[in-house]
Amino acid sequence: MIMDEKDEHVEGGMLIDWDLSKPIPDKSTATRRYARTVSQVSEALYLRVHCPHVCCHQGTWLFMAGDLVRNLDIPQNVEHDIESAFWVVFWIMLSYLQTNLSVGDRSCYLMNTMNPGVFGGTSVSKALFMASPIALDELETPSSPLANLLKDMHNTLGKRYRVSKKDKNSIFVTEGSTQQDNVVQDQHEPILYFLRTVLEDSPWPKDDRASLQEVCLTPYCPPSV
Amino acid sequence: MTGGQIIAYATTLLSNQYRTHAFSVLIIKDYARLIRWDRSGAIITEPIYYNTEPYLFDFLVCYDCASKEARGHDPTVGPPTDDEERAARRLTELVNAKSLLSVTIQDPKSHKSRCFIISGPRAQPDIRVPTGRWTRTSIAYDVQRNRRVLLKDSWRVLMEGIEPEGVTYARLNNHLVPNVPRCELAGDVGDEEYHRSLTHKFVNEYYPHPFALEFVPHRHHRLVLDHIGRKLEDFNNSKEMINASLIGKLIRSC
Repeated sequence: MIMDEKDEHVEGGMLIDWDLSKPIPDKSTATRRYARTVSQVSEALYLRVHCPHVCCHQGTWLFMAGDLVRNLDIPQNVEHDIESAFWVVFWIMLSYLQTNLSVGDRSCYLMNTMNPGVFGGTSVSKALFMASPIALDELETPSSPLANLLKDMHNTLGKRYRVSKKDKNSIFVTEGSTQQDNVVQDQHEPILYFLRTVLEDSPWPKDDRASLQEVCLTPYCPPSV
Repeated sequence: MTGGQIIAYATTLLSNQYRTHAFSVLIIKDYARLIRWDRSGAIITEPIYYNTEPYLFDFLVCYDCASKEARGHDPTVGPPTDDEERAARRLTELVNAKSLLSVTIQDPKSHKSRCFIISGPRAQPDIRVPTGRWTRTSIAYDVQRNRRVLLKDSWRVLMEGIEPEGVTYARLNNHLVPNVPRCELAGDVGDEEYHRSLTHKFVNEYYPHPFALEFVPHRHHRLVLDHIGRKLEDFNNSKEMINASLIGKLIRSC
């Protein structure tokens, strides 16, 4: 949540709603999938915001990392949480900020890319979006630092998707330190760097307050007047 | 059709009041069914042919004799005293509230109850089912400390490995983790009988249920936070949003 109070412990924002979190007893153990709390429901948060008459009160699926929604067996880890931060900001941008994206593009991102089918079928779409180096090429917003930050985050977070399993198992990779591990470890710093730079140096617009953007729930519904 | 209708009624009932559960009687031609709604689902009886069977009448007699708690009233919520109401109305969020309620939470250390004044519950039109955690957050007046706080009332899930949110906050606060609100008080509220959902116990009781695992038990939980913020999607400009959503998550975690 955004904090208005000025307090050194409260800078910027706070993390709340810990009610589905769980402790990881051993530092080396990531949370295991079978114990994950997110229910496998494809109800979507965008419905709640854009279409409050549609029953919906579960939206975590939208913000889960591409490989987690694709594969039931991989453990959740810090890199997934960092990717979730990207998805949250991307969702807010799609839902509340003006961009050069059309209603169709926005709707497609919210309904398909971010909300793929559960485990299998279309579930690869999120991972493909992360892996694609050109996915956000066309994105423009009046707040150019935001667009740049999203592109930088997308590019950095996408790296681990571009290392295919084939490479990982290749005989040229030495055991114990896979290429993928290195990519993961290198994620945090560059993103922090982008963030610091973009917050300190860039000219941010002052008045681009949240305004709900139009989306189309099905590809066939007529555009509202 | 009927299903949607009775679910909507139950949701309205459970959302406009602070209740632990509710009963309804569904009458279809010559038979009736009794339904008990709580946060994990609904228990429905076999048809009761009320012209020949006594159960519907028995139920009504029992309901009439039952305690308020057995009927679903939450004894930890009630009207505030005049003094409490006067003091609470000084908060801008409560000054124009239609009605005020006094909510109690037991302090786990001193075992004394502490009072918080909130405005009456609002209907939540975007939620169409009575089940789930049913989180309700209110700006509250802390009677003991005479200050504005955030009160979170919810039905936490009882699942292996998941601690009550208050325990997680205590852990984070004790380790001085930044960008986490200070949790003043937290705990399960009410007794173990009515402030805990029952439906999951009956799921496979009489016949195997195809979605048995979907029925998650819930327990009534409240906590009080000293920091009150704005929703992430209520930002005044994009920098503020980025600052709030990413600084906390990324910069402070290194």
